[in-house]
Amino acid sequence: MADFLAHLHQAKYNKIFAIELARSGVRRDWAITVAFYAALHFAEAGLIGKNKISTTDKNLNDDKALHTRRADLLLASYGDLPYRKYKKLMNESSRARYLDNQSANFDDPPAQGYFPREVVDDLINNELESFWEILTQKCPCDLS
Amino acid sequence: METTSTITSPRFFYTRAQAEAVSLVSPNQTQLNVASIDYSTIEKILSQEIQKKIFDFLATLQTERELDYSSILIGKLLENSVLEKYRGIQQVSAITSARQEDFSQFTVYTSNPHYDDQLMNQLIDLEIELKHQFPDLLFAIEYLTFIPDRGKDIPLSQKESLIYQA
Repeated sequence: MADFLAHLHQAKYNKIFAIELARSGVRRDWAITVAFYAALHFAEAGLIGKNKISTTDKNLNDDKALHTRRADLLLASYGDLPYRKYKKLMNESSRARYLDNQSANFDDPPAQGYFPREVVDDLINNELESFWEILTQKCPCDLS
Repeated sequence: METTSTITSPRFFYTRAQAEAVSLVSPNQTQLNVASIDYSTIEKILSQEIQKKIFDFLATLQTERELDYSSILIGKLLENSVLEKYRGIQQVSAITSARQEDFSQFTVYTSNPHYDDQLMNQLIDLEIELKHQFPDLLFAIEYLTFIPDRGKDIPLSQKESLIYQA
């Protein structure tokens, strides 16, 4: 199990990379995906910091997929608002990678035409940022 | 064992196993039982009044076997809640559900060629509501976009097949 600081560092690293990708205006699917993985590692740090539990703990003996388990732990630990933002990033990340557009020109990735640039900016500058702020405020540990 | 079904708006398609798994048979509509039912009975389940009764019933379930049925019912509630909101809206092209052991994964497909997050936001709200009401039920909702080629006339059955394979 990666520890609290490892998840926190990875979250910050991913967040910076997501911002860089978004600024470039290209690879929007990966900008969204990296933003989600920034949120994922931040969520793990927040779960460890608040409840001393990690999604990959072997004593969490349920049948859930890791993504679902993590989201459910987040909902139970931090409430509806951060869950809503986390799920939005998670859903958009899946949609960006698995977008099935049979009309698309394969010279251009489908997500590039489907996700307007302002949507990508909003996901990173508003959804990810506010998710970050809420957990930072609610976690008894230092997530800064 | 995994079971998979596809529900295409505005009509619903159920596997035989699903149809046989869930039934509302009590005349006074206060109790759910497992029995064989037909399509019209399922439509009765998909009403607001019955939905409330299903919620009430689920709150009384105690045993593991009963909870297994409840995960099927939660699928019905989810499909009901989503499709009642979006019945006839072409953006919701399909909902697939896959069950493995006690876990249910629902995938909602939209076909809007332009970005729209309104449906997703509402689905997340719905997911939160259901998770609060039934914290022990194992389910998740995924949201994907499937945009068929407008230049080709894809028969509905073939389109479903494409969605099923996605």
